[in-house]
Amino acid sequence: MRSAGFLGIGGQGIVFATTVLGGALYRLGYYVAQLQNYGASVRGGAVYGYVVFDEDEIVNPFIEELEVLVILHEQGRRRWENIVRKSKKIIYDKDLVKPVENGIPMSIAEEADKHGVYRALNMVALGIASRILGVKGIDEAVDEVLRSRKNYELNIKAYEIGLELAGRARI
Amino acid sequence: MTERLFLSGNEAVVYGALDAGCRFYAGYPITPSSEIMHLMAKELPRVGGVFIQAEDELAAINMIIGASWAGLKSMTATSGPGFSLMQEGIGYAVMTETPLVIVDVMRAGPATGQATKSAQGDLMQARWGRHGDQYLVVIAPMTLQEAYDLVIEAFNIAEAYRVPVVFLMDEFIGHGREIVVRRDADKLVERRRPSDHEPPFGSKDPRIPPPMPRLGEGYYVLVTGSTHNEWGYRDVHGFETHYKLVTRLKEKIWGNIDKIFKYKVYGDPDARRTIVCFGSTCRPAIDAAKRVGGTKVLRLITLWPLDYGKLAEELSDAEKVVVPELNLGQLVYDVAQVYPRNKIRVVNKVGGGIPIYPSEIIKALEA
Repeated sequence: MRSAGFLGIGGQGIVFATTVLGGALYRLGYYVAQLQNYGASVRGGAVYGYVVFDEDEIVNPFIEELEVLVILHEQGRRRWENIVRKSKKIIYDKDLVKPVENGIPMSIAEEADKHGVYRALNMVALGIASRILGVKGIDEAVDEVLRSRKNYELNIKAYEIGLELAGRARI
Repeated sequence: MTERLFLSGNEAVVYGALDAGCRFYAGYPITPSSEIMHLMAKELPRVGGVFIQAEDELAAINMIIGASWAGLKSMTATSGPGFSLMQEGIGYAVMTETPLVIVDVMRAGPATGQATKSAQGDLMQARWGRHGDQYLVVIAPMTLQEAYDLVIEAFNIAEAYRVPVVFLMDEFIGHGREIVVRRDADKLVERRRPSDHEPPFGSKDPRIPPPMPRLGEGYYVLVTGSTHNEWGYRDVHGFETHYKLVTRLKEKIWGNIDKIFKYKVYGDPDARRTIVCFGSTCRPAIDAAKRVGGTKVLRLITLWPLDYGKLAEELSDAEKVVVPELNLGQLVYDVAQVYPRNKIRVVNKVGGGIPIYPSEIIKALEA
């Protein structure tokens, strides 16, 4: 069973990024289970979302160790320390998150801002996770999911920046 | 019809209800059940059904009782605080033998607690939330596919036994997303209509649910929450009418326990270590059993009525029993009725929306 997830803060679109990833993997024919944890506020509070997927039916989606974890905010990291401690490939924003042991710092927010896609920071994170997962056909599937939602142009641009960032970092 | 979909559990339960023939929904939005209401509002009119946003949960439960008497399969959905408000109406539905499905997507309580965080704290309330002697049916799905499949079963039981059925989900199931296959139901049960001179509130054999007339079809029927005889006439003084009525209402459910009560065994069926669980918590339990081996998982699908004889039988050889639940210990009381409490290990957790992980269950198994 494979997995990927996102940690951040309310308003960053963590749940949406998780839903797009889940939707893309569903389109590719995988068994997918998606879970998220968020608060009652529109902005603020730790938010965590992840997807597990497999070619066989998923017995248990409640896991502590993720294969890929992208962290976009310190609040999320603090709240879910058990997940951060056990996950394998951890990428975190170097400005918004304090250094994570065994994690890879990246200028996610800075790059998003530079390219005018800060509003779609979550899609940059999704691009990073996608690239690291390296599932065959994932980019086309993500494109399809995003086409069915609002702000396609902005989202796909941000997603591609994420792909490139992860490519450059050679994770 | 077979459709492979990627749905949230709240969406799955809506499609299950629609495929079961549900044509009336009244509710009041509450996290984490609101998406059920959103989708019902969209889908029900498309199939000729009726959707109403009630002014509160009290109105919602009473509206679905009325709709059920008007002949429609009816449902509402809520979460802890709303479920508390519905209790009086549910008691009335038990007394008037009204088929209903009430979905409770559990969140951390008591009171408003933590609205977005999963929990399993409403087990006892689902069974015993009303005053008086009253018996209904409680079913809990484990996966999102089951949110679809078992809600159809919930409607079938409600119709077959003229009883409200509580469909006990939790936030993980409601808000989680998973692959769900929508398919033609194997069997749909419709309530029996009365023939001439057949009483709507009584039968010679208490295990046989009486037929239910539909309002507006010319069958004179009195429907009351007060004690009544088999024709619906009130008797709020006599011992015999009351005793006969409440024992029949109990027997109607417990006398059919062999048909209603369902559970499933996972892992090693001959193992001496057993995990007893319900709902989404069974998934890490099954995972834990698989990882360590030599463990049986006894997963309760029907939480009420509960066949204590079967439970005792399943635990008769057990050397150790672990009961994980997302509350401070409710299911453990059932297990303790048939197994020594000092040999039960509990794994309790609630708050923050943190699930029970397999590692925690393994620790309890090996302790």
